[in-house]
Amino acid sequence: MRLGRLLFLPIFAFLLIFAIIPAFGVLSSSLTGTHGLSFTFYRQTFSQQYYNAFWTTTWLSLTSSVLAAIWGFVIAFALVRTSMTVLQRIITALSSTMANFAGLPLAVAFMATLGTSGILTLFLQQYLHVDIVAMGFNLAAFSGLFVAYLSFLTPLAVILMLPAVSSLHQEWEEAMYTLGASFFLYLRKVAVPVLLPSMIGTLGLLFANAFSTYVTSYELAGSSINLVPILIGYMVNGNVSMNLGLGDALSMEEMIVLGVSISFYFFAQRKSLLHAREGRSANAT
Amino acid sequence: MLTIHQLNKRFDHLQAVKDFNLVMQPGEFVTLLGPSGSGKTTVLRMVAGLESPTSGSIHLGDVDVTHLTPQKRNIGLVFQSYALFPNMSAYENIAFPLHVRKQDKHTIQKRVNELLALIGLTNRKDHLPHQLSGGERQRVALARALSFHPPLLLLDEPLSALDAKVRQSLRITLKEIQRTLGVTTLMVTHDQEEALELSDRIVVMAKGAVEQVGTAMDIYYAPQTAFTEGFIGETNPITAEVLDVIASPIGEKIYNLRWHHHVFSWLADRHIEPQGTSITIGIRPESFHFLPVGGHGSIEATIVDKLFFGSVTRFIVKLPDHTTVKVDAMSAISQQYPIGAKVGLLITDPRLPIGFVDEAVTMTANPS
Ligand SMILES: Nc1ncnc2c1ncn2[C@@H]1O[C@H](COP(=O)(O)OP(=O)(O)OP(=O)(O)O)[C@@H](O)[C@H]1O
Ligand SMILES: [Mg+2]
Repeated sequence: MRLGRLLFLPIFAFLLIFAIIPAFGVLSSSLTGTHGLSFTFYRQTFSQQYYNAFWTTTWLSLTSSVLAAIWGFVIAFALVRTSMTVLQRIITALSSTMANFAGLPLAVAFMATLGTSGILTLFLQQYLHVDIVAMGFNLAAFSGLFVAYLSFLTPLAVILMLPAVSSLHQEWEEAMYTLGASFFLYLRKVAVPVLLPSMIGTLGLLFANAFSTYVTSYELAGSSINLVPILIGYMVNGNVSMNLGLGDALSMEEMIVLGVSISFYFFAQRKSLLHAREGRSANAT
Repeated sequence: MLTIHQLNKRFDHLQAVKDFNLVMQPGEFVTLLGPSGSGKTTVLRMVAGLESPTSGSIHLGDVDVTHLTPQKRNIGLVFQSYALFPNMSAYENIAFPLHVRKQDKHTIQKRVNELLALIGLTNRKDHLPHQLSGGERQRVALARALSFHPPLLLLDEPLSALDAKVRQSLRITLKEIQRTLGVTTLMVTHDQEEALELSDRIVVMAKGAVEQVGTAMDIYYAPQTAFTEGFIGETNPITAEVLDVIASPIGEKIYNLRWHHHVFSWLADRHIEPQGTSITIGIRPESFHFLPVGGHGSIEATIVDKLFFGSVTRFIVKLPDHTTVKVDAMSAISQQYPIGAKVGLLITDPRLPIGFVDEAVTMTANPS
């Protein structure tokens, strides 16, 4: 037992060196003004520009992760129920790959397909006479980032939902049918309620992932959209607007957002009925 | 009530069910009994509408339900794994099919409370399935399957996931509920004791086909195939000399047989025919009886081993020709028969009145 705990030491050391110590560094420098302890930087973050940035980032992350979670659920549900095992394996493998396909390569891929002179944009224009640019689609703006975020959030959602969806018992569905209920009633009364905790948990992780996306959004949109990670990037990377203290304060605020959304995940996991143990009696708990 | 005609089911290259026929009377309790993989569950699922037959037909009353969806069949099904909805309380689970049928609030409340009382779980009605014990869950599943008054109840190994004690008491509960409500019931099990105890009739299945259909007594004492004989209980195959065949008071054939100078009567099994003057029949261990050595008409035998099974004790008994048979007797009397003791051995057919041996034959067989 004791020895077992010792095995976690390397992980704790890793966390300490690469997460906890840097976080404290950020915290202390965000609180250090010219004359010691100061909340100046935090006061600065409560201005209209940063308020807008938080609002845009939240809205972009929320809409894209909600849609990704819904899509992910539908795909995972279909995957579990199909009898085509080859397709099942291909899509699962593809999802793991695509969930990690972000950053510069993803941005380049998107520019090549959906940019103003991207293949797909031109194809739609010439052959289907659909001008997505004229319709307001812009890779360097909200709409473009939304689509780009979906491309890695959806496969991530599939991977996150798959274990929960595959632990739905087939008997629940069959019992529903013998009791007179339809497939949709099964979805509404059993499948969705039972999966709700893992959906919320997944949503928390997707939101955190979207909120902290930096390279992809920076490469696609740069300064043309007001996102928290991009602003932080400007302040700590030493361009025009280098301001370490302010960047640290914004980072701390972002960490709070991430912490809250990830805690949704942990809270939801504990609420899940899927992992309620079988064979436990009421008074034995 | 339920009529299954020439039902077949193939899964790819596997014939899971082969030419299955069964006619059930209203209120009857029929059990499908067979080893693992014999196709019992598949038959049940086809009746429920969860699996579609390759060929054959299923009628419920006069209605051909062969191609109806499960929703339209109105049949209650209890799964081995209970399949209670984990997000609904015991009460909500039982009420669910009534909500689906759009019954009014008051009717639902009354019916669910009635069923909760019947299964003795009124004080547990707000518990979620994972807060109930296995036996309690199974009772809720039973109530849920009965709440909408289905004309037919299907049970797939309803007790097999429970421990022995609970299983025993739930068996009684199940039988009581079935009798009270008079619902026609088709149960699947591979537990022969359960089948023998609960059923009006038993369908023995092997490799997808019906081996034998009959009452518990029929199946137990007159197995018609080698499979049934080997599958249910234990038997001692013996070859006896046929002295006489007579008609019983209700018209069945009764053999008077002689085995090791012991003369006894045996109700004829339809499929076993004498070969020449001898016949081979299976004798259950408890159909043998002990007498003091030299007791009237008995065989002189020696006890060579004793196995204590609880309420009964199994004796291994050696006959004059050095073959052995297995004999079961109540443990209460086993003290009188130590290993090595000599005893007189008798056979009686439990289906015949006690002491039923045709007098004339007894006289000719024992001219002492
Ligand atoms: N959906 C299916 N696809 C392919 N084969 C199946 C399917 N369902 C059942 N089988 C096969 O059909 C045969 C009969 O299965 P079934 O479940 O009816 O047996 P059973 O008598 O209920 O056995 P058990 O006592 O183990 O429950 C088995 O060999 C099984 O592997
Ligand atoms: Mg089965």
